[in-house]
Amino acid sequence: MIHYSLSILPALLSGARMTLAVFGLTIIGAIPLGLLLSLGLLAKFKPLHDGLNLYVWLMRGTPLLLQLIFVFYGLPVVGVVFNRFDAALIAFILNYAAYFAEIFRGGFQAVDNGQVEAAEVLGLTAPQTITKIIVPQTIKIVLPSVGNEVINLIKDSSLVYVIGIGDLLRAGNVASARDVNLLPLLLVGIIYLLLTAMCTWILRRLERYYRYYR
Amino acid sequence: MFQLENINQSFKGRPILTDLNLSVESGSILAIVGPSGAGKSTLLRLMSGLDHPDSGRFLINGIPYEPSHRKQGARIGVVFQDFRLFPHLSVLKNVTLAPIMVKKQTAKAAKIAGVALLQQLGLSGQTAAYPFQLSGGQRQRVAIARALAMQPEILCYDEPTSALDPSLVANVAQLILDLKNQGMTQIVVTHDIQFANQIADQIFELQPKEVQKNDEA
Ligand SMILES: Nc1ncnc2c1ncn2[C@@H]1O[C@H](COP(=O)(O)OP(=O)(O)OP(=O)(O)O)[C@@H](O)[C@H]1O
Ligand SMILES: [Mg+2]
Repeated sequence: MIHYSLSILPALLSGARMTLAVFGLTIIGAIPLGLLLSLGLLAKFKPLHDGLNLYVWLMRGTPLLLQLIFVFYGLPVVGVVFNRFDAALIAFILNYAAYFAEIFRGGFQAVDNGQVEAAEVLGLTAPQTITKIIVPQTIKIVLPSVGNEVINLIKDSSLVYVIGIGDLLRAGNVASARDVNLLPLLLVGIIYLLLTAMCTWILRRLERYYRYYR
Repeated sequence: MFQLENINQSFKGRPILTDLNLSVESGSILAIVGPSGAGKSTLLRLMSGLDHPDSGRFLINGIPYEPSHRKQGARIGVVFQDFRLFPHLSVLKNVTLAPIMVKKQTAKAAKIAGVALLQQLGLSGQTAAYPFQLSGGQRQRVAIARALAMQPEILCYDEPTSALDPSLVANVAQLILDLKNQGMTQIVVTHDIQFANQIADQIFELQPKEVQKNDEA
């Protein structure tokens, strides 16, 4: 059994690398984009605000799986073609950015307006107030919700399976079907658990760090 | 001398301040008293530039002054009723942030000045603490230090006694009088007439709506 596990491990690890690539690049793309969108959601300019609300509604109101299929199998019908990996990233980043945008919007709104006024009477400019007062306090507020999404993303990344990307889940499924063996799927489960445990640990550390103030 | 000239402010057509004229001698203490809803906080927000009056203007030593222009730092400092310290910054950083960001002091110079200011206010043991770790009285003194670090010409307080234990009221009164001795012009909004009598050179009574009168203390 150990021998068999070792023999399929390279394939699983290569799948895990793909899972991590989708995960990491989605985080790198979706968090800044979500931040930008959240500023738009808070903007006074109504068309922008309404447009972004519609966007968030669509992204959160339809399955990510549908969005993934739409980008990879649907768009080529109208002549827009992406390779598998790019299609996955586009769908994941656009979807997760909508979730992050809502989280950041709520976080910004949760910072007491008195803080902004205190900064204002001291003469801080708006950019200084945002970077020195609002953002640091927002990070603490949004950290638990962002953490939830990050953990979800690790598991959601397995959806790329449907457009034929060789991620961790696919590697396990292929080995399991080929060898008629349950072990690959159990190992896949263990690797997902390790990944989510690692993320949880990092997030806990961050939350603990931000407990230095109340 | 700080003057308010024909200040008018109304909210949704309801006049709160009408043709308000008021002046404070440099280095003196003006107390603004009046019942709840008279417009005391409204007036303070106008003086600190958080809101704009419908009409009227402010003068410092006879020269028009726009409170919302604070490129080099405001000439009017504010101590809020709820202090509004920055919770994520240490006491010292609360005090040095604006001098560094706005007055472009070096971090080192701001720190030296901040430590001296905190020491003067009896907070030398708290420089590294965070606001949540302080008592109400200590928080208020940090708020005062934060405002003083910007070297304002006038310092305003909104209800400085309201968030404090009654036993600490005498301490605030003493602190305000000490600052007066150092030449600071101060405007204190309060509903506590006794406190006003204790500290003020001049008491201005703000009446809800029309009737307003000015007595010399
Ligand atoms: N932004 C605003 N919009 C509408 N009405 C306002 C606004 N700010 C203040 N008011 C009204 O103006 C009046 C004066 O309010 P203000 O807070 O200045 O009173 P105050 O004298 O400070 O009272 P208190 O002693 O209770 O603090 C109140 O009736 C209040 O409801
Ligand atoms: Mg008030």
